[in-house]
Amino acid sequence: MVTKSFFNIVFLSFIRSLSIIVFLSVIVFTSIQRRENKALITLEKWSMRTYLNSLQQTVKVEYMSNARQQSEVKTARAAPEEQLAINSNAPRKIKKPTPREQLVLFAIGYHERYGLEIQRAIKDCSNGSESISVGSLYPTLHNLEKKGLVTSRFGDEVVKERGGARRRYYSLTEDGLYAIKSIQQYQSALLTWQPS
Amino acid sequence: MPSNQSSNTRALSLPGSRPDIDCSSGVWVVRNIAQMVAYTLPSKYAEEWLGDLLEVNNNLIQAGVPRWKINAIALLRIAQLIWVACQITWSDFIDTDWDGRE
Repeated sequence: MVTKSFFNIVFLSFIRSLSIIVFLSVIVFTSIQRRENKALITLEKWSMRTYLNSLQQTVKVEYMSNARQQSEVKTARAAPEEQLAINSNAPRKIKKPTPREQLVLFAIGYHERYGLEIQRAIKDCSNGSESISVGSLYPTLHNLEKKGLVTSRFGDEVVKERGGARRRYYSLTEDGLYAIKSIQQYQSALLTWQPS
Repeated sequence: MPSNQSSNTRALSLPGSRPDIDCSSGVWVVRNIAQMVAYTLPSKYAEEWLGDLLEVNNNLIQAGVPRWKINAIALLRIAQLIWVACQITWSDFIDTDWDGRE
C-alpha cells in the first residue's frame, strides 16, 4: 500500500515536471524561431533592396544616355514593370507569405477581387490543374489581412443571386505589392544567377 | 403550408451585416441548415461567406445540376465553413505575436 502510494506520488510528480518542461521548451522554441524568421526577413530584404538599387541605377544610366542623344532632360521613367517598383525609402517590414498565401496574392494582383473570383482566377489560369477550396481560401485571406498584405471592403452593388449579401472585395496593400514584387525579383534573380 | 412558406420567406439579419440576407432562392439545405449555421459564424465574415454560398448555389441551379447534388455540395460547403470558423477562432486565440508588427 505504502509502496503503491509512493510510486503514485513519484510518477505524478515526474509527469507534472515533464509537462512543465515541455511547455517551457515550446515557448522558448517559438520565440527563438520568431527571432530567426525576423533576421531572415531582414537579410532577404537587404539583398532585395541592393538588387533593386542596382536595377534602378541601370535604368537611370540607360535613360540618361538616350536623353543625351535627344538633348532633352526629362524625369527618369522606367518600364511599366518598374513603375510599380517599390519605394526603397518607405519603411518595409513585411511578414513572409507562405506558398498558398503567395498564390492568393498573385490571384488578387492589381485588381479588387472577391472570394469566388479569386477561386475562379486560380482555376482558370492554371487550366484547372490548380484549385483552392473554401476551406483554405478563407483562412488564407484572413491570415493575409492579419499580416497587413491585403485589405478588404464591402462592395456597394446588390446582387440578387446572393440574396442581398454584399461581396467583400480584397485588394493588395502597399506591403502586398512589395511582397509580390519581391517574389518576382527573387525568381528572376534565381533564373539569371551565375556562380562567381 | 404556413410553416414551409414562412421558412422560405424568412430573411436573415446577421449581426454585422447591413442588409437582410434572403435565402429563399436556395435549396433545402441552404434554406434550413445554412440559416441556422450562419448565426454561429464569425460576425465579420458571416455575410461574405453566406453570400458566396448562395451565389454558388444559384449558379449550380442555373446550370441545371440535379437538386440532390446541389444539396450535397451545399452541405459539404457548410461543413467547411464551420471548420474554417473554428480554425480562424483558434488561430486568433493562440496567436502569439509577442514582438508585434512594426
